[in-house]
Amino acid sequence: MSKKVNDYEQNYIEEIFDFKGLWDMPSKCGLKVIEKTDKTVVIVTDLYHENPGTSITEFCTQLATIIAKEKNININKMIFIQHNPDLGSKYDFLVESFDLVKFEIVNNEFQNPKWENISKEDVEKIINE
Amino acid sequence: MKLRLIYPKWEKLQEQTTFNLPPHGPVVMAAALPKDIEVEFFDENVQEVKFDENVDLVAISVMLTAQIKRGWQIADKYRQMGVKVIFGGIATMLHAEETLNHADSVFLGEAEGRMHDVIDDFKQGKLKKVYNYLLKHPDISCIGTARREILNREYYFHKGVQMVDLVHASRGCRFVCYPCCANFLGGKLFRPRPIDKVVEEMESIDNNRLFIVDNSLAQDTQWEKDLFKAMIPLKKKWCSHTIEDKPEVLDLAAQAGAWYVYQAIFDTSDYIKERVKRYHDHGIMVEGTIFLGMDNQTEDDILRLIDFLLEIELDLAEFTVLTPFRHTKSYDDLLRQGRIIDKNWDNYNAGKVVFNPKHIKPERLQELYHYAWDTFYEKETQEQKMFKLMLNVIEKEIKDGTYKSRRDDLAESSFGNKIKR
Repeated sequence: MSKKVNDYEQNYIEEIFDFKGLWDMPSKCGLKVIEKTDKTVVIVTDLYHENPGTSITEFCTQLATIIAKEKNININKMIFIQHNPDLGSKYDFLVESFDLVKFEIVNNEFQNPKWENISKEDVEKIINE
Repeated sequence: MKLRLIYPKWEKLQEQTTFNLPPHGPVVMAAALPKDIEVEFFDENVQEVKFDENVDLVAISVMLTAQIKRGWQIADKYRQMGVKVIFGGIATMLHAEETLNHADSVFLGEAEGRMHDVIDDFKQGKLKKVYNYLLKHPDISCIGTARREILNREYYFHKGVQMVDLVHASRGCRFVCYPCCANFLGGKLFRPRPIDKVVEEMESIDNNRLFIVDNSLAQDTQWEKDLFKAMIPLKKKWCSHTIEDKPEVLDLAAQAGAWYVYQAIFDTSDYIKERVKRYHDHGIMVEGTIFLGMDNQTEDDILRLIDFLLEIELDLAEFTVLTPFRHTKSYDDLLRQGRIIDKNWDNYNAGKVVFNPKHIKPERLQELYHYAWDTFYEKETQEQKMFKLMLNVIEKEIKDGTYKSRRDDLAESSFGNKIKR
């Protein structure tokens, strides 16, 4: 990944997480894991051009399960936030957005994601509370 | 071995004059087959598909999401007869999971260098459920000339006038555009074909009018200029998607026979106005491709956009409603926002509203879509505007001695059917 450091990279990306996406396509997302006493906040960031494979929206459920397994996170205490950075487009609807993703947990795996758009302030609140 | 290659029909935009072009995906795939395979091609848009067992394998090539369900129906029918069916093509890649339910095999990715193994597997009764070559691209230089001899040429004439032939000069796309799935299909790396191979293919096509179907030619200035320079001696006339907006590129494009371009128009900016003017200044006509229903568009914006298109003297306009095709950012965003209201893929022909627009009710957007077509073509009909487009190319052809008059023997037919008077 090219190293241009944006605010969001500093704030929300600790590592580039490689995963096998749909049809085993090599895929990447930004990842930040914040351990708290009663919860683990996971922020995944869509890398757009830098991700050769599946988008995090398309692969959200499987990705959350993979991250929980690889990072040894208790899925019942995992808060999963999806981050879509500003694309730098002239269109104002393509700005940075955050979604709190809520899943059903079936057989210790995530299913049926529901996205709830939240603000950056909400994200900070979740991280800091 | 006999392979029946089928290209399913789909519902065209009702507002647009229907022209059936010789399909590109099937002829590209056919070129990757072993030479000894007998290919019997059916384009369901211009002919009835034959359903019989006098075939070893059926291959269904699907380009558009709006074709996929018809492809499944055809496959189901053949499989009931005991004939094996394999799917490939763009919409197969977009809808692979669902397509598996209707196929003996699904091929994902680009066919070059892969089909010998697929056919060998079939002959040995070991056809795999999935051939997954997504992002495992073949060497771009091994892509040869498409096998257009499988086409029944006479189906692609309207009143004796031959339709353009489709050809591609590159794969992959380095741009990530909101409504487009090209990155998923061909990867995010622009992969130009060797120019000599492209020129060789263009030269081999028995048609002076081509459609260069690459998503965008504006990916690498030097390659684009080299391509156009190499095309000049061919004297072909062609349309394409976007060309880079630089004087030296436009100049070479014009010399290479640029006839008209499809230019996406999203707003009423001076940039768009000037861009269209620069094409016109180079003698290149412009068909605008206009998405309605983007999140930045209110009803007033759409009405203003339609007026703007008339003001800038756009030669043709193709109005579509934003359609969230799978594996696009628009699909991702609208899915997260819970705004996709229709997942019947038959309705994904870009003329039907399948999502909740941000500022307008879906029904109103549908009305505005019809209004856009009606208003743009009110004073000058599609037929009149297309006649001007034809005059433009005929003038160019007469000037460089490449004009061929229409086929008189097909003057009374349209895409294989007798014209009813």
